Amino acid sequence: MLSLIDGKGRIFLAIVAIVAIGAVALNAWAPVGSPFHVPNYMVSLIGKYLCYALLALSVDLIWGFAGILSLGHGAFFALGGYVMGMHLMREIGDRGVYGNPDLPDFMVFLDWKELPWYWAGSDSPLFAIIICMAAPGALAFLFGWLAFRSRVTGVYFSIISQAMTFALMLAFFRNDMGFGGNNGLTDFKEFLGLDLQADATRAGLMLASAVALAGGYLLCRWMTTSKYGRVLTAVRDAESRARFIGFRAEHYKLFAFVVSAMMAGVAGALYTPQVGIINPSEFQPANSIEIIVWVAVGGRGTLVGAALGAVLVNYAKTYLTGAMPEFWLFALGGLFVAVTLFFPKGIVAEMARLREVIVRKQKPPKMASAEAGDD
Amino acid sequence: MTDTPKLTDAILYVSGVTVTFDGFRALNQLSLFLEPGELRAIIGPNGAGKSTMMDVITGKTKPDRGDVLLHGRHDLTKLDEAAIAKLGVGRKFQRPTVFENHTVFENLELALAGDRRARFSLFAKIRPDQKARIDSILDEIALTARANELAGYLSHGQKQWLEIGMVLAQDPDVMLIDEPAAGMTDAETMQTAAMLKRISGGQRSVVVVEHDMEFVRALDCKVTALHEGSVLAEGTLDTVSANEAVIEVYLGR
Repeated sequence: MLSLIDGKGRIFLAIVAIVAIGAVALNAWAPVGSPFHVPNYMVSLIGKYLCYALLALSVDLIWGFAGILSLGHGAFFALGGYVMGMHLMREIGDRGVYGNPDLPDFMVFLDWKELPWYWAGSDSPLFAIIICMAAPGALAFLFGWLAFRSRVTGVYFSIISQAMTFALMLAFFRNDMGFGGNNGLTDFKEFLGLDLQADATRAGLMLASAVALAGGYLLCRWMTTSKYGRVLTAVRDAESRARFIGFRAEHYKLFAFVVSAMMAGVAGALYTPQVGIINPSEFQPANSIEIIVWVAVGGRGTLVGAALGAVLVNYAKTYLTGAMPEFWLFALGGLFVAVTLFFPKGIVAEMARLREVIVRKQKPPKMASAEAGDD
Repeated sequence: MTDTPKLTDAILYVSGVTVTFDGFRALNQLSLFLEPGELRAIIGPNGAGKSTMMDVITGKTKPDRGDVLLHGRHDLTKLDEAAIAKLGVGRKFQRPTVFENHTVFENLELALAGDRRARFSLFAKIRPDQKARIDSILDEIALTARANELAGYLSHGQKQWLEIGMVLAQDPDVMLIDEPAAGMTDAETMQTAAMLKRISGGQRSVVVVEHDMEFVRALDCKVTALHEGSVLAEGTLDTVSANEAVIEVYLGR
């Protein structure tokens, strides 16, 4: 029916590729001081934005296409981030402050003698790659299975998803959880034996984030343009109609929810090494709400818009928290109100409408010039 | 499950069904038997229990008491909506409910009988025979010309037809059609009656709930009158409308 990569998708993938590869090239080859040079911090910043864009895609998949408004999606992102953080802690080895080759610093500090059982396997990078998807996926499966089976929808679902991330935040704040308490996991040295401070590693992580974003986009496109996607939007628009036709709405929602949580987990896992820390504040309900604002600004149900919204809002955040820190939250709130009032379908839909207007306006001048020719 | 041959003959067997909402008896010992291939009209004033009866048959509402059997074998009171739909019961809602953000064609595609599992749907492609089936349904519901338009743009009456088409696409053994003529012009109403007669055609059991007596007359079938959750009278439209109790309920004497 619909092709996997449409016009919008081509532009989107091209921009992601140009920005990612361009930034790396200009970082490596443009001389420092020239206007074309991309500084190191910028490479990591782009990497961070790409992770946020992937996170926004994951939220758009369930909010835009299944109508599930999750106000706790930051939890899956943070879980992925923690899984990666666990592995990075293990790669520090005996270079920590206490020099213990087996235990991360915070465990030595807590006077723990051995690794808790759930840290088993965390020394392997493969663990990080698999579990950063499996853990959020499993939580989403459990949570979604209970919620969708009991037909919890709409605002009730939003509230319990918010409660879920809040509960996780409180849990991760506790030292006894074994995830570093309120300090979280930090002081990472290497990933896959590569120095995390090195330019090449940072470039590599940013490129990996770009690849993950492109992959996530293609996965979402594949799902939403298949018959599965048509059933999913049918469930979104008229759930009982879909049930009476014989579709188990809860299965369709659960699948999208789990895939979405896994995407968020991957985004979190790529985010942690690039920012150098993961702590319980990532579970804050406010973070999850912010993701919703990104998607709303860019355009719900458009995928490309979600990614665009994530980058734009975060760029504004980076700028404003630097220039006028106390103003940022007002700006975010104002933005959400403005988007809801003035372009409820988001930037991408607004751009499509604008293009239509321009195309329509371009026609009359042609007629005018023809008339002029007649004269 | 049953030893009386009569019960196994009935494609849909509803017996002694009682449903109570907060002390209000929506259905009171309701019994109804539907023959294979039968077209049946259900009439009754508002609150007579017509929609609740459909909710019970399709699994939306669980009865307090009573049996609902499909094909004399499947106990529908134990199953959910999706399972009952799979067994061959299709339903059109009172308010037309179609997937407004999908095209008319896609609406029928989704309704078309087939594997309903999510993992199957990821790889599903329309086969030529399915396309042909959709085309023939489009023809039946007079929407061929609008196949590629969004269903949300259809008129009220056309949405009703599309929903009938969607139920038909499920290829059910029993079709439950709730107020198909609501909001239709006279011409559309007559067209709809003819459509439902064709669809039933002695092959498919169709239950139609309707207020419009002209429409019921056009259906020309057995009529069941409901009142306060139980059957008041059953027979031809003329017998039923001549029934003293029915007249009393309808005219409020």
